[in-house]
Parts: sequence; structure tokens; C-alpha cells
Amino acid sequence: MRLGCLIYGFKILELKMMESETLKNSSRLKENPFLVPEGYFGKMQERALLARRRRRIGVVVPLLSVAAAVAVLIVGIWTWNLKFDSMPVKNLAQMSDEEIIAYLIYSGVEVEEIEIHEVEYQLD
Amino acid sequence: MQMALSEEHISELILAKNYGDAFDGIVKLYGERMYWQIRRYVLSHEDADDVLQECWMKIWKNLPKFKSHSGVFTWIYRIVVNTSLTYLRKQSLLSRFAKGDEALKAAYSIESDVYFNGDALQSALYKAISKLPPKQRMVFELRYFEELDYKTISALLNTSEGALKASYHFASEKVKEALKKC
Repeated sequence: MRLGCLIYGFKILELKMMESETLKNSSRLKENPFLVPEGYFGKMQERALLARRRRRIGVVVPLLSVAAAVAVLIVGIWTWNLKFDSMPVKNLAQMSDEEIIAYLIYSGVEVEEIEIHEVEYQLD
Repeated sequence: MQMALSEEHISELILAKNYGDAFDGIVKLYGERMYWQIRRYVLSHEDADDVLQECWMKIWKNLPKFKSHSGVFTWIYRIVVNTSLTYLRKQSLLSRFAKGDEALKAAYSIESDVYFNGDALQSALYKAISKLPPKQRMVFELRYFEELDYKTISALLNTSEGALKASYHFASEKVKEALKKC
């Protein structure tokens, strides 16, 4: 009985998917309606080379970033110690999803990691 | 103007570790095609340009990891699709949680796009696409516009074929609904 319902469900979904294919019939919808600024493709090689060079610079920048982060951390710990007693502590359960997500992004968690859970909830 | 290299030639250059010439060859042979592909995924020219620059960086960084058994374009295609998807996810989060200018920047509007030259029906189509969740949007693009089979999309997005079929179904239903109102 259950298997029968399941097969019936899949058949319905398959039929609906076939209906979706009707979108394909309009060739006008598939025409490219976008434009680019004049001369954009002429500068592509130059801009790609810039992106490639930026990648090289990227190796040097993290070293400076680490030094800056250490300095910020030292000042941060010092300031934290001064203010710790007067700071309100918020329980995680009291925080909204938005606040938690905003905090995760702020603390450098990859967007994909957050999305994975979201996708699971939405069954997307 | 120099002639564009062939895919085989680029592959040989990469394997010979001549990454500079291989990179130039990739830009010449696939640059424009990559741009148009990204443009349809992210819609605005500015976003497409940002994603393209990111793709160049990734291609340059990963050239030494290229394996000849996957063709050069297949390899690039994967980078383009995944970089665009990551970008769409970031934009989606930004438009939900950012405020002020940041939120405005993240929300694409077909009406205010000066580089859009479509008719009312195309405008409705892209408006509906811009409202889809990132993953559904990417599946719709790959299936509807690029007419890729589910097996290929499954390998590209690392998602089961069943989930992709469901995603495409939901996406195309939403798009059809939006077009009906047009």
C-alpha cells in the first residue's frame, strides 16, 4: 500500500516535471537580453592579468594582517579585562537566528557552512 | 591581435608548467564565454565582473592542480559555477541581514539595470529568477538555459539527481507562475 502511494507520488511529480519542460518552448526567453559597457571585452586580458597579480600580492598581505591582528588582540584583551565586570552576558537561547548568523559571519565562518544547515531545513 | 589557442594546446601548456601562457590562452579562448555564463547566473554586470575576477584568481592559483583527464573547459566550468553559487549565497545572506547601502547593493533590480535590454517577458523571467534561492536558481540556469542533463549538474554541484529534479521543478513552477502574471 505504502509502496503504491510512493509510486503514485513519483508519477505525479514526474508529470509536473514534464509540465515544467513547457518553459523550454519559448525560444525568445532564451535570447540574451544583457549588454556590457562599451569596450569591456577589449580590456578583459588586462583585467585578468591584474587579478592574477592580486593573487601574488595576496601572499604578502596575510603576513601584515597577522601582525595587525596580534596587535588588535593585545589591545582587545587589555580593554576586555577593564570592562569585563560591567558587560551584560546574553544567553545563546535568548539570541535570534539573525543575531547568531550575523555573529557567525562576523567571526569568519564560511557562508556555505551556514547555508548547508539552512538547505537541510528547507529541503532545497 | 594574437590567435586564440586551442583547448588541447592550453592543456599541454599547463602540463608543461608554462602557467603564464596557459593562463593567457584561457583568457583569450574562454573569457567572453565565462563572462556571459556568469552574467546569467548573477544578472548584474558589476556582480558578473566581480565573480569573473575571482574566477581568474582561482584559475591562476589552481593551474598547478589541473589534471589532464578532465578537459580544460570542464575544469573552468566547475570553477565558474561554484564561484557564482558562493557569490549568490553571500548576496542572499547580505540582502537578508544587511541594512542601508549594503542591503541595496545586494538586492538586484532588473528595472534599474542599465545593461538590460530585454522585453517585458524577459524582464519578468529574470525578475522571477532573481527571487529564487541560490541553489534553485543555479539548478534552473544549468537545466533550462544550458540544457545540461541531471547527471552533469549532479557532478558539478555535488548534489543527488533526485534533489536536483525537485529543485528544478520548484524553480520552474515559481518562474511559470511569475510569467503567467505578465
